Amino acid sequence: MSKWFLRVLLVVFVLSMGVSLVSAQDTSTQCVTVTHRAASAWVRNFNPFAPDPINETQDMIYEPLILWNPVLAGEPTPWLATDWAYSDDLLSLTMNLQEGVLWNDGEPFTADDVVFTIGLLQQYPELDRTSMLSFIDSVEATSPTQVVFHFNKVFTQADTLIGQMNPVPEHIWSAVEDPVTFINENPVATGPFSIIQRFEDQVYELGANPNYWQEGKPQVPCLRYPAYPGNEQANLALLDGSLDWAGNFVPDIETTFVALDPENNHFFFWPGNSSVQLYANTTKEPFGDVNLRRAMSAAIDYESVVNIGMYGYTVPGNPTGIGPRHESWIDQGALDKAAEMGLGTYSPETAMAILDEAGYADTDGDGFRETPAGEQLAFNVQVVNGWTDWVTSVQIISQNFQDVGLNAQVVTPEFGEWLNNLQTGAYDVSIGWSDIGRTPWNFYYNVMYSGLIGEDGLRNAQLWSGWTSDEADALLDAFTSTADGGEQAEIVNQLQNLYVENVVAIPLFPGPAWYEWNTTRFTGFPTEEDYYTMGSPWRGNVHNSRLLIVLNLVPTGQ
Amino acid sequence: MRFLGRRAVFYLIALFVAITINFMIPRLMSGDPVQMMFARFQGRMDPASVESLYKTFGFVDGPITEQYASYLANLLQGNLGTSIAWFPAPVSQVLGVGLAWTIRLLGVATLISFSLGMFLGIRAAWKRGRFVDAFVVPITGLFGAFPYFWLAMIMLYVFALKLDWFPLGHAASLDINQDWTNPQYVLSVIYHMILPATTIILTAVGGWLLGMRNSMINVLSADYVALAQAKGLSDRRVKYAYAARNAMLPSITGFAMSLGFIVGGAIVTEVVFSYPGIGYTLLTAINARDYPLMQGCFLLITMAVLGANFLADAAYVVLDPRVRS
Repeated sequence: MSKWFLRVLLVVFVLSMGVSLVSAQDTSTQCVTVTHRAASAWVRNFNPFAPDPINETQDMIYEPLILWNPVLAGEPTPWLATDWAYSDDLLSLTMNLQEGVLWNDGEPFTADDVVFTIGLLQQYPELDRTSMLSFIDSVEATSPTQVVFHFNKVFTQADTLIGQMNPVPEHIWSAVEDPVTFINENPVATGPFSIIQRFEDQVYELGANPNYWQEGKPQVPCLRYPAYPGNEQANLALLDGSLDWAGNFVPDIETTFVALDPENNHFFFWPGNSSVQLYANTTKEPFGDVNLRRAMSAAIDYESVVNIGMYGYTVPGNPTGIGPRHESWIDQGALDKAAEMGLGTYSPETAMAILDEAGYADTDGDGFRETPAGEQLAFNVQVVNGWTDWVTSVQIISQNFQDVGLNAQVVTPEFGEWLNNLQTGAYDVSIGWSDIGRTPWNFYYNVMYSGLIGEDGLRNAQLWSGWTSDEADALLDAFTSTADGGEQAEIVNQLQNLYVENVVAIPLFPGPAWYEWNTTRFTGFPTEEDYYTMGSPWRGNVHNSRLLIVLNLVPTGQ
Repeated sequence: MRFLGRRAVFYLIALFVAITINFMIPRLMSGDPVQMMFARFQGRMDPASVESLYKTFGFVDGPITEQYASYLANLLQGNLGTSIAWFPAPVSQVLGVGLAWTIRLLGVATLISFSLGMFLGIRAAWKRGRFVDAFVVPITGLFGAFPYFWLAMIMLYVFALKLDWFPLGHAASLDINQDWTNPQYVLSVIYHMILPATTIILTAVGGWLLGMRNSMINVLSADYVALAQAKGLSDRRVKYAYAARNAMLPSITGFAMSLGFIVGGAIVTEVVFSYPGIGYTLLTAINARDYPLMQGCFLLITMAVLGANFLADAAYVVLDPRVRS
């Protein structure tokens, strides 16, 4: 090795040591450092109407009218709107707005901004991400703090969807040439962290809005989002102590994370996300036979799936598909029916008895059952390649199926192919997610409403099992035609019974809401004892829990 | 010159074919951008938005011939279109972010591993059986045989997590503002580059070294080298100006190719070291079925590989007089 080479190495080494010392001194630890999604670099985009803008554009920057808190089982939290009421004929909604709300440029937020935002959607229908125009006929400002929405049909999910809209300031957006392709570099918004104080390739910082309408809030100066391309990198940062708030999957979290600093490192995985379920393609024989689906449900060892596949981070699913988030909606009648049918409880004996009775017998002696018609029965259970928790779960399930004499094999197509198989009905059995919303209605709507099947036959949303019925359609429509809570609960009860009777899908476990926090620099996070809202730092469909969290954070002075 | 002219025509045809294939490949994959975007949210996006997304991404509908025509027309104007995954950011902007970092990291790493490989290869062949030949050659060969992601993870674990000599990731310290006129920032970029670049160099240098050593040994047994030595030229002159210059020819082609492939990025390095780059961008584009972005990435790679090959051809003209006749 020549001397010059060693010298170069030495210089580089000394330089790097110098930099590490310098950068160690120059820290800005006052920002709450958060991670919630994989990215290797950020692309600036704060357009709230874009399909997938910087994730904080909604909630942190543009606020909702009504805040939905997932732990309140569908009860609303007033936000930019203070109160609202349907008219008696349910054809209009009158909404009063919070007084004294300012945009971060100092201009007042008024009813005109809400009217303008709806007008923007009417002018550019492609911005209407939640199909609000399908029921909104017109909207008027009756006073600076009151808006009235007029509907062209009765649709009592209107308050949910309108509540989630993010009004934009008329005095800015009326001058925007094309709101569809507008990047909105420096958003003018009402949110608590709507000042973009830094935006770089691998990190952005959202600064506190000095004009924020809630007195004395926010109490932390900024939020910081570094880019991590994968779960492992985000986990390293978590272990390293550089993250204050995360939504990561961490294997064996007690030892890998909490044990490093039991005082400050915390986690709580609330199983309050949507139901992960096993879908059978009911339009393909023999999966149209409800007894086969019943037997499958009885054959699955749910405890093993949860403890081995999911590291014990969740609980076995409820046969109605309703998880802890909407526990109060569960109908005991539907549960009794499920128990009678043998659903949702691991019992190979029950599964085999159901199969025997339905005529699935091993007639050719190969160790696997044939269909009642005597044909060979061998099928695939598909799961996304590389989604290790799901792959392990499906491996356990297919073993369970084989134990009761069903010849099941695991196949692991790539994500896009997996999804395409589900949507075109080109699969046998598959694991998949479901939807969760303000009430259980969203869940049932997305797995059973025939109107979601596209003209081309594409099974949109989670209509993957292909099971539809007029009865389900009528119930789902009836739910959105009444604003009466009691009536809605009754409809949801009937939907549960329908779902259980027909084994539309087999719920495996509710998805855990990944959530870790570090109390060294900040406190005020929801804890297991005081879980005032869902802890995960990402945005969900119809929930804005993270907005409640950031306003509750307080620096510890460390 | 006629040689270069013929090559240029060949490259133009290759470019056109590649552009057409770039257009076809993304569309052969199952799934479409809207469904993928919807699925990425895993039920956390309102199903009603499917319709609005189709309207927004109207440009991915339409008959395929029409799409192809507008794709070509846009390309001629230098317009790569609008990204879907990062809508409404233009493809050029999305590519620009990753490309700059990729070229910096892989450019440096490739240059160092090539130079180091050439230098050590020459020494190994010149003094056969001595230190470099007996130890460095097998050791670099060993590193080259390691699975890259494994080596990268071990290096990250040992030098960043355990010893804390180097940062855990990112292209620069997040505490220093991105400002290329600030020497502190530049130093931080260099510091953050050391570990990822070292892993690439460790795995790549063995190949260059071995290739150079072998072709150098061949050349050293040639008559003209013996003649040069007999004339009493200095060892240094014989080694570099006579032997190495000829022995390098095959490696130059390889070097040009690897320069071209730089713009493809290094996905594993980027993921392990949280380094921004084009490899991860391409992966995201593929997962999102972001046709315009995929086309942009492929176009970049095609042009870079063809361009680098053309440069290698030109270098041959300079280095090898036989090509000129």
